[in-house]
Amino acid sequence: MLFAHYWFLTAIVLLFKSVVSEEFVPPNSWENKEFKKTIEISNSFTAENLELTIVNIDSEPVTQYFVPIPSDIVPMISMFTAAYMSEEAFIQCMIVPGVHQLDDGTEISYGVIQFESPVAPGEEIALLAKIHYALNGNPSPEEIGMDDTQSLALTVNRYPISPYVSKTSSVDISGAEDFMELTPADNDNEVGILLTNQFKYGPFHEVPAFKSSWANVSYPVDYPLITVTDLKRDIWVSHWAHTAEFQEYYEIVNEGARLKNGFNRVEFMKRVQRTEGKGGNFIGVLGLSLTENSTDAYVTDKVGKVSSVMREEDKLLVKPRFPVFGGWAYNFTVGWTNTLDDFLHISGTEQDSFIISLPVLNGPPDTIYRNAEVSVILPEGAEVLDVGSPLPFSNATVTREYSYFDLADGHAKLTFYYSNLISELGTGELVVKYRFNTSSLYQKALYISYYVFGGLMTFFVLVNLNLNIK
Amino acid sequence: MGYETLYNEFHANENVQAFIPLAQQPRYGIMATVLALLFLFGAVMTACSKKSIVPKFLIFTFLSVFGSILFAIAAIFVSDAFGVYV
Repeated sequence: MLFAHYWFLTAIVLLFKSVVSEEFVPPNSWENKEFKKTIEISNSFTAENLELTIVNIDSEPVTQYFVPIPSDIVPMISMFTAAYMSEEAFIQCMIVPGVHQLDDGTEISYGVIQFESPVAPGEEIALLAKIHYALNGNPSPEEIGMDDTQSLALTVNRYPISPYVSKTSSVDISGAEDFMELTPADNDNEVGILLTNQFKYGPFHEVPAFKSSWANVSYPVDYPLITVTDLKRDIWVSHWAHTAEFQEYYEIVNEGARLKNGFNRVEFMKRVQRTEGKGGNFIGVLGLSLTENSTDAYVTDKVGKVSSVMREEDKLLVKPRFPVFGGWAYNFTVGWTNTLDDFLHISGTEQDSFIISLPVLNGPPDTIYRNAEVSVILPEGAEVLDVGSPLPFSNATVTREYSYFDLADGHAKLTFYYSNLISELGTGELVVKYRFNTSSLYQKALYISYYVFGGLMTFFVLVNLNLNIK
Repeated sequence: MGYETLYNEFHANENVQAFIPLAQQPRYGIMATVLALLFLFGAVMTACSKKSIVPKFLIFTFLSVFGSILFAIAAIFVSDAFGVYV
């Protein structure tokens, strides 16, 4: 009834919110003395390095510097960091709500670099910001022959878009052997220049705020674009066995160009012989990184055990049952075991407590993870005290998981849900602090003995019960 | 407690030693299994004997308690020995 009477207020409030978001423009507090943007595309993900020399042109001290990011790729951001050039000190960064529409209709959101102490008027700062996106260029053309080299097309802006005036700015694209500009420039100044393994726009001088000119740039990529659409990673911790057992289920897709004429096994084998197995936009071998000192590694898929596996120190080379071409998918499970020596420490602050530190990801390098579910399964009877994740997660839950000889509450399962990760960030450590005292350890043996003793007592009663009528 | 605090606490403290090393658990598992079977067999024989009920019950209870505990320990160690870590 309340909504029926006041729905119009809700509509107005929502409309107001939308208007506020679209109209947001950062205050004109800075001037970019130099703004160099480097787009690195040698990996399956895209990395932007922003080298900035900025000056506070406001009359008051300022603490925030705004970095525009196209709204449609904000959800794909895996990492946004900044640091001073002159010292090894990170600066706090965040993505804030707020949308601005450029003259060409592009919607941009903002990343904010938040300085710890206000920057005085006239003060100059040099800093380096990095933004990693869990996305890559689109295959162009979308279908190729088995022997053709794949090309990707990336949409970039010829200018490093900024809400501030830039005295000198340039955009470099690096990481491929050749580049081709597919979109013609409006004037000769905006035409890209091909250098060795690099494509350069600029340098431009006196660039006004929000100046933009979009271009499609194509470049050859002779490797598959491995994307893990779903990862389910379980790490089972056992104090009795003193082990950490890793088990990962992967659903992977090759997001590269699709085959034009379908798959032909004979043609494929000829190609492999001719090229000695090198190159090509298909997944022939997956190199999975394992934790150090791991043992008992295995790989299975829906058919059964995968025997085309080779161990090389801390890497597991897995040859899928079929080559995974563009648009194809494959799924498999990989597992291995480590001792807890590598991961488990005593807590210095609480009695009967432990701290375990585990890597967020292992798996193939140069990979994008769309959805990752990482679970740490603690022994039965453990009580979670605190958790820490090096990466932002969309959700975290604590549930119960039953396994062998779980006769009480089951294992405590702590699950983190991540999206749009890149493999580079996987070396971060998940830290979990939990309480697990000696009585909790012995509890498992006691519960088993209770049941056995109960069975024996029942046996005794049944054997000695005399129901004869005399 | 922030991530940095937890991370520093982890790296400031020593690692944990195994309660019973995994490599030794198969041996202890076999020993516990043999002892458990002996105790349980003795308990079953006692239950089936013709003695009077009270001493029979006392002996049976004694053998059952130790047999159950040894069985539980054997179950854990043998599981770990076969790679099923409990």
